[in-house]
Amino acid sequence: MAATTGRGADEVEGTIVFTDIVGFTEFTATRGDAQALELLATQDRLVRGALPDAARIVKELGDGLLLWFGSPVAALQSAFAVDRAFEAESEAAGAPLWLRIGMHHGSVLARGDDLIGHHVNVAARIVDVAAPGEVLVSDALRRCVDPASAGVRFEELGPVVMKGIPDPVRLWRAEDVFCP
Amino acid sequence: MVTPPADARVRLRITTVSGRVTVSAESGGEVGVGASGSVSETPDGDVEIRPRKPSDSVEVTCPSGADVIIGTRSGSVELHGVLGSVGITTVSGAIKVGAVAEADLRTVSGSLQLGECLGQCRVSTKSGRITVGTTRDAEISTVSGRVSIGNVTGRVDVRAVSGRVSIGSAARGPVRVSMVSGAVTIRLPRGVRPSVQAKGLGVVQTVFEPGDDVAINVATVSGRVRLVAD
Repeated sequence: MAATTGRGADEVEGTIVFTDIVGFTEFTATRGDAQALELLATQDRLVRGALPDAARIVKELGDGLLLWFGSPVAALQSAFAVDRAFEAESEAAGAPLWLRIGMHHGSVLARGDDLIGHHVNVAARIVDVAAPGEVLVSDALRRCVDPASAGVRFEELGPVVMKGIPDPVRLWRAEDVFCP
Repeated sequence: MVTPPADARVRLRITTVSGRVTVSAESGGEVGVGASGSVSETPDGDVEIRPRKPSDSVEVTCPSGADVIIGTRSGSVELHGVLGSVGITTVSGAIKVGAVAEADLRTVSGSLQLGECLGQCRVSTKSGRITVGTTRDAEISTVSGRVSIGNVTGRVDVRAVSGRVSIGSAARGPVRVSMVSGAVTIRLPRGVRPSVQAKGLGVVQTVFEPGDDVAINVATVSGRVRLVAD
């Protein structure tokens, strides 16, 4: 549900997701620009294939993406699917690379196709903490999800102090219980 | 002083920005916090500790086996004694941990030392230096840092972009190494006969005769993996 703020922007509540390809710089240096472009195309294809109707790619950020989901559960399931598929495809191609993914839930302002606001910044900081192949989520997102019905296991990382964010953010590692 | 019920599992949640955190686990049932720390109880029963000022150091005592979760930006962290499940996240603070049941330790650029982990040890760094004595299972990720683990008795999973990783494996669990361009050295017991599966354009050097004593899976773009006798 969107509410117009009177500042020419709509306030919308949802899940903000940042992805980042770990090792992209080293891969580009080793394999060259053309293969790096192919890698970005692979990420784009896998993400688009995993997006449900109420989700979209907001923008590309170098080797990462900013995504928007109406549902936190759909966001988690898409993140798991993309993470697995990316790792499998890259390893099969002889280039072990991983995505890392950071997720947060909250209200943001939609300015044209872009999203801005504090919660976008929090999500951007969360992905910086994630290890290769990891999906990290904020406590705000975790509280929106019933782990049993969503098929998710949450493991607490604890309070994390992030640059530019005044209060520590409680983070959780999210794992797909159906993934061996 | 906070005295938990005898049968309760104590969990400490500590946050500082730049202040040092020192936790000493001792026999006994009390949580004690120095004068510079404030204590409260969270709705889920954890003991939450914060410094009174952002730069204040915090000194805590707790029962042996307590679980501890710590977040700092640049404050160093020292954990003494035997603790339960420990999670520490820092940007640039140095971390020193004695003995734990399980560990999830991550730093961006700070150094990290862990003596002993009885269960799963997950460590992650961007550019910091990580040293672990012994652990059962090890899950390691590094971008450009250096990781050294003395002895792993279970499974090993390494994800490295361009860092240097050195691991001693007892060859009782599988070893999986995925890397872009770094250097990984795996020390195995003399006489073991590993089954080595390698993918990618990198180099795998081994001094061992092939066999099926332990599975070693390596995938690398241009990195170097060496299997050497311990």
